[in-house]
Amino acid sequence: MMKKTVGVLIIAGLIMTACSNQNGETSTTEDGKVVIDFWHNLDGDNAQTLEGMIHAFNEQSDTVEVNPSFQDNIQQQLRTVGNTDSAPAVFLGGDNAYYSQSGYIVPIEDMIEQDDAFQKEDLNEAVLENHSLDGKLNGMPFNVFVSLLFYNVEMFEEAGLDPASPPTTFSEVQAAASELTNDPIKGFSIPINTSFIYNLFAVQNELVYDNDNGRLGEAPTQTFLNSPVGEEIFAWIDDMNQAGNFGNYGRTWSNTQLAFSSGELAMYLDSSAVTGIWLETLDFEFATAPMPVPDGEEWAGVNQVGSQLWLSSNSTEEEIDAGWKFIKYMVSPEVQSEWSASTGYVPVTTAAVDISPLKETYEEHEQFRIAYDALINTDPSPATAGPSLEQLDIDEQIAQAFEKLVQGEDISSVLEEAETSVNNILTE
Amino acid sequence: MMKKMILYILLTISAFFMFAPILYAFSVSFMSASDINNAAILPSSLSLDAYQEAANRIPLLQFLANSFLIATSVMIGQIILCSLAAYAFVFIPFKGKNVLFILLLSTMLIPFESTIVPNHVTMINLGWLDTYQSLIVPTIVTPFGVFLLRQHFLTMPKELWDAAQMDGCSYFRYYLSFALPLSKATLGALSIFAFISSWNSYLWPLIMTSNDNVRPIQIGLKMLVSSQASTNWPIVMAGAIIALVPTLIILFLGLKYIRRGLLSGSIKG
Amino acid sequence: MNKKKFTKEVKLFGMGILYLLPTFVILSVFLFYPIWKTFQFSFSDVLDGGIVDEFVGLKHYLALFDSSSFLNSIKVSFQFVLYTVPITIILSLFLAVIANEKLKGSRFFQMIFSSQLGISGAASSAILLFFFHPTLGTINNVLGFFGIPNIQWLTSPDWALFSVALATVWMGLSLNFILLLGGLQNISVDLYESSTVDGAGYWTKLFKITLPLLSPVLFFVTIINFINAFQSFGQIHILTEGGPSEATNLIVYSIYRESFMYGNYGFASAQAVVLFLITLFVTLIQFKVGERRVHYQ
Repeated sequence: MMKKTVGVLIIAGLIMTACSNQNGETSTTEDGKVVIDFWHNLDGDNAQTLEGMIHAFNEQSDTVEVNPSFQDNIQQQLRTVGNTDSAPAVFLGGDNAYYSQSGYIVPIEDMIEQDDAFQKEDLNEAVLENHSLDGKLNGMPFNVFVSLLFYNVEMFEEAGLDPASPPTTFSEVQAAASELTNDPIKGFSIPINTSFIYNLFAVQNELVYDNDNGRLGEAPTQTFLNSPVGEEIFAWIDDMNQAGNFGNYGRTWSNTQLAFSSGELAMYLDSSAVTGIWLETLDFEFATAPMPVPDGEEWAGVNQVGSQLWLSSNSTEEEIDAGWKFIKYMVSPEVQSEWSASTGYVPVTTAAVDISPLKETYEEHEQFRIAYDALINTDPSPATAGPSLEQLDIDEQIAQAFEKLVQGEDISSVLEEAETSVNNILTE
Repeated sequence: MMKKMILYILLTISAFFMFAPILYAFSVSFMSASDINNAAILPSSLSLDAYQEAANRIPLLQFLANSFLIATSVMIGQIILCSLAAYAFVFIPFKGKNVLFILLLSTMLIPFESTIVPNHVTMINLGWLDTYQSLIVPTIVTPFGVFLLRQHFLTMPKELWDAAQMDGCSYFRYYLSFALPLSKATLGALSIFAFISSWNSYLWPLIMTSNDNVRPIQIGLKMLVSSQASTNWPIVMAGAIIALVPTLIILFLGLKYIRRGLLSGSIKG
Repeated sequence: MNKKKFTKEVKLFGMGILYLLPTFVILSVFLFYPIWKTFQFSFSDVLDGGIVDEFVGLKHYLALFDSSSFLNSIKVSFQFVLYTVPITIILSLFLAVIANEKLKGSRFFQMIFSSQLGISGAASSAILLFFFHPTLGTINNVLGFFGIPNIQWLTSPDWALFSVALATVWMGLSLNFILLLGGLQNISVDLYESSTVDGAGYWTKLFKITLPLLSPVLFFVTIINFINAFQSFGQIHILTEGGPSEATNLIVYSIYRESFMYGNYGFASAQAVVLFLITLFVTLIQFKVGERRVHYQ
């Protein structure tokens, strides 16, 4: 008995699978294709689409074979393996400022310069501005989404509002929220997340941080959260909250989404990436609209949230070359068209909207097109591009300020507290 | 009779609270998307699509086989190594064992999250990334298991040990013929725990592997959950139910062992 | 004579070490070494990849006790332990005792009571989030049926810690149930039989025989639950992310956030060392007070 179990144990220990690519050498398939690892953090339905695209790439390429691998927290992984041979040749990463200074990436700008077949101008202008730091593109923008106002068309009709002309300003949203609120239905909500606060600055072309939101080479040293602009945003949320028209569903986005999908929430802010799934699953008609602006302000644009494709510098020449081929393929108009049409991300390549299937999708579903309109109507500037910060703990401070606000704490003390703690982190 | 009635009522109420989540997961796995959107308790119609879809999306069988290999190895390893160590702490009177025991216990006080980075570096240096042993060896012995068995060995009757020593029974002989057989209930509990905690572990396997050939089922489950857009819950729950089946089998076998402890317990007096 | 005694000691020592060797080899590599590294990191600035940049002395420790966020974490952690440990042990003892009775179908109930262990993090997170949802959640719906207004389980700082504790108790019941059931089953039937002859009733047997004989396991369960409660992480990560307003920011969540989200390994390690010392202190007290009362046969 004992011997048997020990035997099983030894065998179990001995079974080893071949470790690919951990010796600093290029690995190839039998027919001579260069094999590269690609890490991504996409899951659920979107991962299905991505895997399909990678499969198609491998089919059509004679020289490169991409090996996709799901990772939950790529940044955490790369903090440890980024500088080792275990790093993947290509990875999807969302934190531009962090990766740009990480020291283990090859800037995409360098690849573009050497390659006549790819022009920076192929990319959407607003996307390019948003993803460049100090005019330089370090990672290739890939899955980009924007924030929109989502609303329940049927509830608009029931409340006597016109779904064809959704609220565009703070006071219009406020008025609509009060009309739509009808216990247990809440008129309006925003998930507790820093990105929405940033976006409410961006829509009115206001900076959240000095040094041009940290976009022009200098790190920010102070925040403009505690300003008339910040106060107006917080007061707007506070008014609706005090009036009982604002639903607080906490930090978990899915909780806010569940309130919307089950018909207990009439309007809310969310990312355009959810559009595809709502089209497929909602029982009621919904529509999207651009983010609202404060009264009297011009709508200037929205931040893009999303990730870039990065090339690891811990790869051989061949692998970098192969990785670049893969990246170019992923942002080609055909692939972007398919990607955006099936997910709700906005295409990073301008030409993608003119070809099938995205062309038809935009004609058929206005909800999708409004996201793209929000993107192309964005006036590129450091303010609309949004903050670029290396200190990730700032997000937490702003989220906490948001939490305190919806718990009914005094606006000016919440903003002052947030300003102090954020500035402390910035100057540390 | 009255006592029996009360017991059954208590058992049923408790069972409902303990089992409701699993029943709910089971129910969700048959739901349609609109049931989910409306926060339904029961599916409007029975559909097996979610199971089909879960199996299409991830290499389910490969993941299950990997998990099974890893969890079984961890379980067997823990039974052997933890019992050997606990035996030494209780039955072999050597100098310094108290210090060693405290040292062992102290390792329980460091949170797992603090060990990740150093252990990751160790695994890179060993060249063990993407291997089964990176998922088996670190948990093949746990201070929890040693401590649990030590507590049990301490309750074994002294007279038995004295008698065995009188007969000239060697340490290893006593371990094999008395200590282990008389600990069936505790070993059963340890096996259940070792298997299931290995089966359910997620973060460590995720960090250690990037190759589906060695990855366990929990990573597959996470791949079904969508973090950036709304999740397709029926598929996730279908995956969770599939992943639950092997653990229920282990629970069944383990509980049988725990009950057998009763029989051996009555013989030992 | 002395020499003989000495050789015997050496022999015993060698034997003891032989049994412990595999355990300590593995613990050294995967636990002692990381613990040592954590201590080292707590006095250093650490770069990505766990590379020590420079020795900074007590900098991180001084920053810790200057940080209201960390002091809050300690307070919240202790509260959390108080909310969870006693209730978990009492409830799981209750389950083990009623499932241990010789009844038809008791096996079925034992299976049900332990089955919760089989639910993975991904599944239980989804279920718990749904149960706690502010307007649609099952718990609020049930309360609403009795006319109790909706409770902001996870979104109000007054309730969040309690809600996470509730989830933790529920998640811990199965493990404790199995351990205690194992303990109960190990108790010799003879003892009960002889006491029945003496005419002892149910409650007398429970308090005079069962609980004293179960005390080694109870002691074990108490220590394990204390440590687990101090190290709770998964449920917080899923349910509240430490919020709202840090109401559920337990020490381990704070460690996770500092090291994996912000890359402040040194600062996070200092927190881990403090957590280590706190749990060590509490555990030692339990051993001092508890082990004396434990009844070993």
